[in-house]
Amino acid sequence: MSEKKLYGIMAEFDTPTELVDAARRVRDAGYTKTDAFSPFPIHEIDEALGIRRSILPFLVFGGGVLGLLTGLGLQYYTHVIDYPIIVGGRPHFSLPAFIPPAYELTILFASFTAVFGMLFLNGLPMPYHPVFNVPRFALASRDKFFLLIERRDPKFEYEETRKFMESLNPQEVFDVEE
Amino acid sequence: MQDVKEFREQMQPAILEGKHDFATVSDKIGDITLKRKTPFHWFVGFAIAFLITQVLLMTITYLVLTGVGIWGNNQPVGWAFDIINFVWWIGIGHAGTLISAILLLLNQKWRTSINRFAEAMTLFAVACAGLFPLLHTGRPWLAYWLLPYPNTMGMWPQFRSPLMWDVFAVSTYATVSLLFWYVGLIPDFATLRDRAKSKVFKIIYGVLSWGWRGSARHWHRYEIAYLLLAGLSTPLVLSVHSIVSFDFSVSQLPGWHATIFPPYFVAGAIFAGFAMVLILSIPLRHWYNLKDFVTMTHLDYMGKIMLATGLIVCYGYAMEAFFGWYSAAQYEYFMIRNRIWEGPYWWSYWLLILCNGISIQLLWFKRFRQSEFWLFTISVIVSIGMWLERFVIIVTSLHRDFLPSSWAMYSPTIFDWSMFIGTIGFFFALFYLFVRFVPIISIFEVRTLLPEAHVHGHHQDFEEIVNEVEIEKIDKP
Amino acid sequence: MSYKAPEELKNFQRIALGVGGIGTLALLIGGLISPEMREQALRSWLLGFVFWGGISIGSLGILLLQYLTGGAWGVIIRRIVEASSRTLTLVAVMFIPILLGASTIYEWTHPEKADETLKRILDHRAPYLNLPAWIARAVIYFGLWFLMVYLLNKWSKQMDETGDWKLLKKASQFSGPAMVFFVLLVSFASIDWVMTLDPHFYSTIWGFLFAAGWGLASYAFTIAVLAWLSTREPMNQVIGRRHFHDLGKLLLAFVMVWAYFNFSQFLIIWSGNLPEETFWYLERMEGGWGIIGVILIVFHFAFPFVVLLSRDVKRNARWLASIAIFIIVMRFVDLYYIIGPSPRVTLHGAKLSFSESISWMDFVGPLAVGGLWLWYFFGELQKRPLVPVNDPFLESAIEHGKSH
Repeated sequence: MSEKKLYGIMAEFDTPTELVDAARRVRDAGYTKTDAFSPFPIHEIDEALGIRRSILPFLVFGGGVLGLLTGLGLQYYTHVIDYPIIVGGRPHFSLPAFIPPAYELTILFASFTAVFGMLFLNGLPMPYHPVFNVPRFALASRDKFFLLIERRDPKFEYEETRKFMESLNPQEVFDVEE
Repeated sequence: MQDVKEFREQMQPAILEGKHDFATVSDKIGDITLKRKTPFHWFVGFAIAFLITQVLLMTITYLVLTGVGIWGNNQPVGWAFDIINFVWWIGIGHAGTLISAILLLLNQKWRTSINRFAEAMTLFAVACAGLFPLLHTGRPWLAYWLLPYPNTMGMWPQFRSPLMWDVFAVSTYATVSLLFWYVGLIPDFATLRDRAKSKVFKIIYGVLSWGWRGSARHWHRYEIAYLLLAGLSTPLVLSVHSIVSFDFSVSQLPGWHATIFPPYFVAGAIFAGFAMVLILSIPLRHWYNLKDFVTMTHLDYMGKIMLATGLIVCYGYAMEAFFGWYSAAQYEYFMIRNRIWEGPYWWSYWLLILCNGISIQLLWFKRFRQSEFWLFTISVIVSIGMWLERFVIIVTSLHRDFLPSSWAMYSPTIFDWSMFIGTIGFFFALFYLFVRFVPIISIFEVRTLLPEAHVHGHHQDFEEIVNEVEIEKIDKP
Repeated sequence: MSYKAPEELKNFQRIALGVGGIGTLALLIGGLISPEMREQALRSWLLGFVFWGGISIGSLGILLLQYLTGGAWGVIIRRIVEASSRTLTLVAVMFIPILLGASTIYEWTHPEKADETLKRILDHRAPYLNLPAWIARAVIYFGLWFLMVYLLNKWSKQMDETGDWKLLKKASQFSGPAMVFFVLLVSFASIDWVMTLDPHFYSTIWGFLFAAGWGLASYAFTIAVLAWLSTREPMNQVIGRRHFHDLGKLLLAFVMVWAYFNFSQFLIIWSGNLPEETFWYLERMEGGWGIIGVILIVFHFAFPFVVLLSRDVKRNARWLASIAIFIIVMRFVDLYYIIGPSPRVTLHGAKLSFSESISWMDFVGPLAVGGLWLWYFFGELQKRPLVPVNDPFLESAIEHGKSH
């Protein structure tokens, strides 16, 4: 046991309300390297843990603009610059007809940004993570709620933090090993 | 006298039945995939669907070896079963996206327990749809020529053609639907990973869940991404069937060239799609005992949407007929007369009106919307009706060319039929596999419907104070 | 709480009536100068009528829609759209000049003067497109709309007085079939009143274009009124950020639907390139009209679309109201783009370029109709509590606005 390094201390809760209350107290106590785990999204936890709004929407907007420009650029290049040819009496730069493909590429690029941006910002895929070393953590995807304070938190002091976690009225407190 | 509370419940009925908590929800849905013995009817159903899929494979093999001449379409009816089936299938897919995206944006909580399998339906329907244009190219192994890439021929695809728009629309639609569906599945795969007993399944679901651990920060970005995807899928789904309608409407053919086509096609797509969702969900809720999640309320709402979209489709028929006459254009007027009563295919038009126009009027009544038998029957009728609609639009518009010397009749060959029926088998085979290996209802979203998922206590009061203060700041500048 | 409308509305009423009165008088005098001016005055009146009447009719549509869908947004805006829908009485009165002047502005009323092509078309359409039938249809449109407005407003008032919330169910059940008729009426009314201005043109999507356009205008108008009310007693107690967020989302959807219908019509006609319909856009791309088309693309669609994507804009009453008013102005531009280039009867079906066509009356007409309309609207708004006080979902609707 002793040769394994400690990753943090984790507490288990039964309900989202308890989790949010505890998270707020952890934040108020000055801990910053914290995280909560739940089987479904809880909106109140963002404010309780001090999570700032993600930049994802702006990335997606950028992705969409890039898609639009790509779509228009591709069609402009192919039909005006590289191989201009009149088809069906329409002008080389047939903007109305170019809108549907450009529109689809806008959505495609924006969607890719949304999905892969989310995964990237979340650091997924992550094949190994210390929290999974706690056997009860399997229930985080079922019906239990967990709160974690990491060891790298500047305020982390094993005895004190553990005592603090126990004072939050959890079901159980665990040491999480690296 | 009825009590107000009761009245509210009657107007906005509960969308979950029975007593459930986080654990029972997870177990009940997860165990269908993980623990419950595969039921006998699954094997029977899958075997039948799989056999029919073989018919498809044989047809495709013969088609590729011989050529599209084995189909019945020939001048002037150059498009027939292939495009009818393409439009029919891709339309069916639209309901899945509507449920997963549009209803999410509209905050319709009842979508939660049907979105997963409806999205799966979308993917499989798009897969079936894609086969038809792909094979109709004649040389499907050269289908990549449709994509714009620098090639030795020095040529580019023709972006002014709606068929090119289709390539972009359908491939984007398939990709984004898949992404949307998969993103929704990540937390549920994590649930299965944590509940699986066998090592193999633990690894498989572990890989599929990408190491999801339910972190608050992850959920935060996850929800934003999910909402954004919904926001992107909504205009996407409208554009896809609009572009499909452009395949016809940007041409000059009477019967195809009508400005109402885009919204009318979109409505028809959703109409047919909800029929298919009902066809799938009614047996599913019985076989897998999911009546707590897919309740009569769900079926009732779907019936209402079917009615609404069906009425829009009927509006389209009415406008086509009215403007066919009003246009005072010789060919338009001939087309509509030919389609409705003078031409040899008049029966298909009236059958279509019977299926899509008359049958759905039953859905005005709660009694029919609350009956599984009637909903199922009407859904089957509507599926046939929507197929007929495309038959009417495509075949009756083409079979009377501008010159009487080019007039001809169309009849499908056995290979047209085997191809069509084959895709139905393929669709159900894929759906059976999905039901067996993937959670058919979104577990994590159903958890959020439970009353205990809401955070309460002093916390909420705190929220209210914050809100009130901020409202005052905003509204009294 | 009484939910009584703020007193300032009385001042608004006076101003509106003044503007409306003076404008109508100016139009009347202008119309007496010459036959050309008379046609112009009536066309400008029609422009105002289609714009403001569209807000009445569109509000009826939104009233039906919110009964069908339910939800907090409907409860919050119900009284405003009800008041707008009750202006239908005035709108019907304002239709009288168009009724009387139909042969002055509609070229199809003179088949005897038509050239050979048009004559053939008008002969074919004669069973539908003749003056008595046209008038009879207008009577039917207004009659059925009246019935809907009357019943829905009656039940709503009864619910206020008796507290019988079962009336809500009645209204919801009525709204389904009513919606079917409503859409058909809007389609044929917009065909009769606007599309036939150009006797050659036809487009099957026309009804949807107007359903979306009128819906958008009335919805934006409702948001603007609501935002103003939310700065005053008593509505500042009722409305929360979430309400505006929801309304803003739907506004964005309306903007997109409008663009979608218009682009569909344009793309199909442009691609088909058939002479019997492509002339309609050709005329609207030449002679200075093209600029208006570009303005519409940029400011009726692109700009509001991008702005409304922002969550912060949607949640801020002032910003949302500004963009709503901007959209209302663009609705006027759009209607002018549709009506302005249509052929003139006094010029034997000739069509004018933008600079020849635009007249002071095109601004005074909508102002005149608008003044009268707003005067009537603000009067109606004061007649009832600003929220449906006995609605069983009122409480949860107010609560909803305060959530995230």
